[in-house]
Amino acid sequence: MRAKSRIGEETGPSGGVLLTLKEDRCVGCTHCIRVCPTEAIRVREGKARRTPHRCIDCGECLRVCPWKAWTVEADPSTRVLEKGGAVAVLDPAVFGQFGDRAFSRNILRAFEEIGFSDAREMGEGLLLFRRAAGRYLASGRSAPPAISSDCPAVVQLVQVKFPSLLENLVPVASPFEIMARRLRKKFQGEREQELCYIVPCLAKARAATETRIPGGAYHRAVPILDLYNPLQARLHGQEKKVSPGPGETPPVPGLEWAIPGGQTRALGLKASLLVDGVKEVAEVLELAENGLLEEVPFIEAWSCRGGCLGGSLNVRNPFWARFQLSSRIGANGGGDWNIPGAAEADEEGDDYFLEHPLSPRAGMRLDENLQVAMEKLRRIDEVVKTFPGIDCGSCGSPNCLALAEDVVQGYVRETDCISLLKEVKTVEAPIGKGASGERPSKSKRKRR
Amino acid sequence: MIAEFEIQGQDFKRAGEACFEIKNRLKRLGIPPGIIRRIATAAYEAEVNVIVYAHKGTLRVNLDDQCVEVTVIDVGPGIPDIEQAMQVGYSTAPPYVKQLGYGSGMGLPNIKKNSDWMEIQSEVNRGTTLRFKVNLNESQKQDR
Repeated sequence: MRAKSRIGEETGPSGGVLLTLKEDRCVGCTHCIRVCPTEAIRVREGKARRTPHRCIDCGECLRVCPWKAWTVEADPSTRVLEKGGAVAVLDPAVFGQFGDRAFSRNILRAFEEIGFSDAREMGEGLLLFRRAAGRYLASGRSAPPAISSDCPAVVQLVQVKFPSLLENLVPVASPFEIMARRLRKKFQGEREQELCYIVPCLAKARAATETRIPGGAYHRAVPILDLYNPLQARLHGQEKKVSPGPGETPPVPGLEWAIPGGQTRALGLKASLLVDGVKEVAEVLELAENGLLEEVPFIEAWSCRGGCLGGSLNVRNPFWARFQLSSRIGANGGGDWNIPGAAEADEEGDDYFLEHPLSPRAGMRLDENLQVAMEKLRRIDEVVKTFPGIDCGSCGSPNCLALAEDVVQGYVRETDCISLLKEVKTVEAPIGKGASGERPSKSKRKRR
Repeated sequence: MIAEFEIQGQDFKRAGEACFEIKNRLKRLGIPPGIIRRIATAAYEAEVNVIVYAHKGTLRVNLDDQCVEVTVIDVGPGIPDIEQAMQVGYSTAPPYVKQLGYGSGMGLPNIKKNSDWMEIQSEVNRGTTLRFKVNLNESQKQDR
């Protein structure tokens, strides 16, 4: 859980993967402030500034930035590998990043060849998740509609903007958390292993180290992007050494999880509301909050368009990746689900339900004190009327209403509005004040 | 008062806009999620009622220490028999409205279900005034 923060403040690194701004590249162009689904970014003094407690790690700013100023910094993977004893757990999306001649088992082997002591797919975690979530959905305990909690950016979106839907999230740990717990159990007593989750996106990177079940945390997250070149080189070499057979034996289970619709199929549900893209997810959650989706049994929601293959830390085009993944899955669907480890887990009676209910994040709140918040709301209504309502973003806030809020919160001044400033200047210039930098008086501002 | 909206009868395309705005404002104020959800559900039904049945209406939201109060005043046909209108499944909506997915006779019962207090005053051929309250302190629900 993140502490409440102000614009520009950074909370500590998460999963060893951090969204950062390359100051020298940022030109203050306002692309990112417009696409941010929680209005967490402002441009102040010509540079983009993020409010971490509102940020949901969706990666929209990374995608849209034409100057590549938003970047992701991760601990160099070489350091992880040099230390030795690192175990790679591959998100299903990772398998979509490689071409058709790279068979899934070869991909796993390539991770070992570049220095991981072990590389695992997530089949076991997926299978155990499928069972736990399936039991939960069948139990009738869920408030309709049940919302998939697998995408951590969607979970954060609910925490920040739709807290009343927290009770609709399926309260089962994500497959990758379950996988981490299983592996920790397996490696118990052996020499210390460093668990690394190979991730397709920022949200999973954070979630990897901020787990919601005991033993579900990874030591670090590694963006697939960071390992791509050495892996490609190995795979290229492998192809020369080993010619792949006519089919994958045994096939890697659970790859379809990374393709939208895969969760619904894996859970054996006849119908679900499938939505991808963070803006679209927010629209659907609005409907749910109005009580309009009670006939929907399950919402499979993905923050990224195209599901995890559209994650902001992937390398390849998401549709190309979907083709690669689906050709690897083949006609028989999900692969081999006969996983010995899962039977063991069943015997242990582990159910992977979250220990604590997910809590809301005070992301949108104006003030702790209700009276003060009401006064601020009233002032925002007043202030926004003085703005032109064209949502140009030139002030550095995403729209006029957001600027009004920033003014009332005391972060900026009304004259940050270009339209307002222009009028003030034309009024002031003839009487010889020019660009005095003086704040306009109330009466002048009212003239518009 | 924290919000006021004008609603046009038959404006189905904008159904939910007032509700969206109300939710946003309550979230800004830090009202507990469970309460926002009850208000959202009830306010949406009230908003749709104006769109389906009335010529036009005004929706107001007030907030004090105790509760959120929503008042919807419409100009329209009024409700001849309020008791009947309160019954689950009773609807006078024309078929084309039902085809749009509205007018299933759940509106008023749903508002009652999601509020702690509700009152309807109606005059046939003049209009209807609906008021409902949701208590801020959820434990107060049992007292009523």
